[in-house]
Amino acid sequence: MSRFPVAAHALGELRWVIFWFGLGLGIYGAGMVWLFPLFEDYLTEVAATYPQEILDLFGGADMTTPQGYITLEYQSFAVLVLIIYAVVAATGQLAGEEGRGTLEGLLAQPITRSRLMLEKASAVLAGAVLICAIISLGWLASAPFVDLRGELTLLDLIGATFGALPVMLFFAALGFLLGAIAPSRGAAAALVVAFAVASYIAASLAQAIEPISWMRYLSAYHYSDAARWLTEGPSPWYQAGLVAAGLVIYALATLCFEQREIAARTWQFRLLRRKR
Amino acid sequence: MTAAIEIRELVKDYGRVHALRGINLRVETGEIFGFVGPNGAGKSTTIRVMLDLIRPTSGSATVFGQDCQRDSVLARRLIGYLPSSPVFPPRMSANDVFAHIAAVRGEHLDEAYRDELTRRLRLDSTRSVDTLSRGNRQKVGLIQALLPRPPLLILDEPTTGLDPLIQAEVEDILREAKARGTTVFFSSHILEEVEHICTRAAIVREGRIVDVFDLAEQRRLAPIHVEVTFGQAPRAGAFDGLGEGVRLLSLAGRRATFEVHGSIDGLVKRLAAHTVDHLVARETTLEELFIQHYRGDEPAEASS
Repeated sequence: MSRFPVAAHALGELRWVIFWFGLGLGIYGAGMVWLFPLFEDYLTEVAATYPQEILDLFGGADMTTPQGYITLEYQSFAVLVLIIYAVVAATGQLAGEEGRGTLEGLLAQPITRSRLMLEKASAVLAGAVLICAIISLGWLASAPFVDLRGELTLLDLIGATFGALPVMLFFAALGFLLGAIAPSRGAAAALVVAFAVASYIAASLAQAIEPISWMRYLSAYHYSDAARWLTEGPSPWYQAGLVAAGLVIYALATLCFEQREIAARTWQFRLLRRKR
Repeated sequence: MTAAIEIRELVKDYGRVHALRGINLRVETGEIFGFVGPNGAGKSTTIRVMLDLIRPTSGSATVFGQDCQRDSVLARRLIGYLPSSPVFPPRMSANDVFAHIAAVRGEHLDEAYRDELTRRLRLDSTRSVDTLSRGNRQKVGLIQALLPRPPLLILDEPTTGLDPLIQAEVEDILREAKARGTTVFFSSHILEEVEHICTRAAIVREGRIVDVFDLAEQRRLAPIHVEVTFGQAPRAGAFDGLGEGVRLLSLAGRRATFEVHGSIDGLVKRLAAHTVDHLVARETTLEELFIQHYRGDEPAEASS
């Protein structure tokens, strides 16, 4: 008997999501690494003809270098995909279970809501780690066999991959919060995904257009360091900020879920209403 | 003695909709208590408050003295719950569901009792719950509620979708649970079933308890209805002056219906003066009581 049955069950239900997200990104990343020698000369030509503003739009990195190439062709986009995993998985835990009617049976058992949520959040995070591990297998199958000019190592790639965990945690927490207050999983997921995509676009535009460069600071995606991790290295403050913000949002989500009326199918933002 | 369930002035409003308007109820330990009312009367809302799935606007509910909101985990440890439409996680067999729920409760799964219940209810517990019929899912729901052998069973429409043989088996299982001291809170709109199995029952109407009665006492006090078919139509006035406790309800052609409170002896003697082709005497059913309550314009609140 598992000591964490809710987490074990949630992870079991996520197994195929984890597998396909990991496999898809792993194969894509490995493919990009394998193709680098073929694209190397072509990339130099592209970089020479493209205006810097356009390159900035896609991360602003120097795409003639291996780290710039992987940032542009993989990293900046992959982080968005990983965020989408976090949102899909997190919103499925509360709002998804409530929508399909299984949450009622679970909450009728002697388990606290905070414990239930913590186990489910642990499963989502464990899934995120597993996806990063599967992607790392892709790096393992490609980076050691391709000449990356000694500028990009296997450890750099694995580090950047696992570096997406703080931003995944942030968006997963947001998914739990919306799952605890929205009337349905669809509404919760749509709102958080829209916010994630808007963050991505805002960060990209802010990088390319100087007058609105301030906008990057409003973008959660900007703090993921996805566009800079391989070229400039991560910012520990940004990563710590994402984790801290994620934990605060998660705490809010727990409070909202504690007050949620199950299966009421309405917006419920009852943060401060105390139990009798 | 602590009541198995004690509900006091329970009110639940959804905006302008008043789902519960001050429910008062006491269910004693070891009884099978019927909770009767049509859809929307407040039965499931009351149950959901007891399980802390929703929070009351005011009032309180306790289970064996544990407040269902303040000490909800302690209260839920004492409860086995069957929802009205049980839903289970996909791609699990019934056995997986039982094991998962035992693990969530942090309790040991009694495999011998599980096997006994699946055998008695004729459930193939190795099949995926996704492929089960409505009735078989209901069996899974019943077994998962019974398996922890909780002191209180809250069953919301427990026999929905079950065939009559399995319904009878469920009744036997519940009587056995009662014999062990288990309290059963039996919510249903099937009055015959409640009448059959419950010791007491409450009628809930528009979020209020309108009557709570002891079914055995009810059977003793309730009038008997006697329907008689005569060989030939009695003359008008043939049943005037029937005496205390006997009333002619209708007389049409050869058929008459009487209502008798107390002894039937006087009526039998009056009927003996006529040729009687057919006679049926039956007790007032819970359904008739229920209809009486529901025909009234204003619910008159009663307390247990």
